[in-house]
Amino acid sequence: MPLAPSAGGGLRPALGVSWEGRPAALLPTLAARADVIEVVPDALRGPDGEVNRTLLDELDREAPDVPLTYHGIGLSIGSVDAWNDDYLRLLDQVLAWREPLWHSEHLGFTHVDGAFLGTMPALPTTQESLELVIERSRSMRERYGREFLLEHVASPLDRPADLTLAAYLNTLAAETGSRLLLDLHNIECDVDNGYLRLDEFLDELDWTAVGEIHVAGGVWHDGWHLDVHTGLVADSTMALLGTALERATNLDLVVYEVLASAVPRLGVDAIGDQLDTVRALLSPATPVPA
Amino acid sequence: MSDLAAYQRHVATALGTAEPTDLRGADVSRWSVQQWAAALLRNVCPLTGRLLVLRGRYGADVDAHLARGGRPSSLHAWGRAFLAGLALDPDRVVADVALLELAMTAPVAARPALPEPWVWDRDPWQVAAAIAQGHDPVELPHAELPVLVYREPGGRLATAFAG
Repeated sequence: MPLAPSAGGGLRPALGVSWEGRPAALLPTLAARADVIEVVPDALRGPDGEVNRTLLDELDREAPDVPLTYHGIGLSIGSVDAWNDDYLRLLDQVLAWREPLWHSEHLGFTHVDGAFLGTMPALPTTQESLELVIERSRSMRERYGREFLLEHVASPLDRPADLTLAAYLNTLAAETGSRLLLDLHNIECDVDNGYLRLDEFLDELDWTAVGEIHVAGGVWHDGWHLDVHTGLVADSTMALLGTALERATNLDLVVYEVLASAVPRLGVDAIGDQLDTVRALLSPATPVPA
Repeated sequence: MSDLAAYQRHVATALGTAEPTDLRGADVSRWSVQQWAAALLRNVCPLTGRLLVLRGRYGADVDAHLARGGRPSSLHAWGRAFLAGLALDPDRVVADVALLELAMTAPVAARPALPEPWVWDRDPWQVAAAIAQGHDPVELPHAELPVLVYREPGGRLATAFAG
């Protein structure tokens, strides 16, 4: 586990950052400032459909000793017809390259009847979808012999609900034995878009099941808060991180996610500074912003 | 059909059309799909994408590509389909540039057949350079002689003056 000793002598969660294969100039900064690099296997796919070996070589060269996690976006674990076997082929390739601490995916669906939607709607929090995801999550754990974390997706699309999101996540974690990946920006989007009550969610969630947290910046469009990792982390998300750090007793990792395409606009230095800001919050001695 | 399957097909239908729908959030999701598609296609088809932007038609071409449906999860494959469609465009410059980019970037198994002979009235590498610099290639002077574009036996694209 990537726990690191804190200034106070206790254990604190490690700091991670996402990596989508470019720009290469960002890698030295990430390797120097992050404890863990979150690799998105889908983003490393080359024109021939296989993992682009050049990108793996760059990571080996610039961050040979930095632990990795694999965070997929292409499995489509919630598609009723079938999940996406092509993603598993991709995952097999990166697993053969370097061992991650664990791997993770999203509680969404990107394919319907074999066609790609171009987005990832959230799964309805229904009993039917819960049973489907529990079965497939167990299959993933058995197939790869390692913990498989799942992340709630923020989506502006309305969806049916038998269960609260927290009850859904709690049951998923209890039934699969894998911890949860909680994306705080996703939670904020759902709150802002009218799909979630924050206080109720925070009170109902089994925080002992949270193993990883994501923070990111998003955008607003036409009155909707959208989960697009194009910016720095908002103050509200940082404050929510403070709350989460107080509650998540089994938390191993906090990852700042940023799109590769946003790097030129934000600048490498700003991303490095953002990592430093998040790291400061991870220290137990650091006051958490209200 | 299960409730979950019905919901997922409802979502797919709502996202795959521009028609009004009762699904809350569908409009902003369609906008998001279009924005992502436009950004991603320019990543994998930078030359043709830039030319279409210069011609003021990129957004419409992305919309048309989305409307064809049957989108694969592989962005590169979807980008090749975008280029293959544009290679049939009535605008000869767009068609040639799209086919050139497809011929340059496709893996061996997906390489398109090239017209024989494939004759350009401008040097294709100068055309590519002009687009990359933000200039419409029709502003370039014609080559003194027609330029033949062909694939060498080893697979490399090459040019020669025709005749």
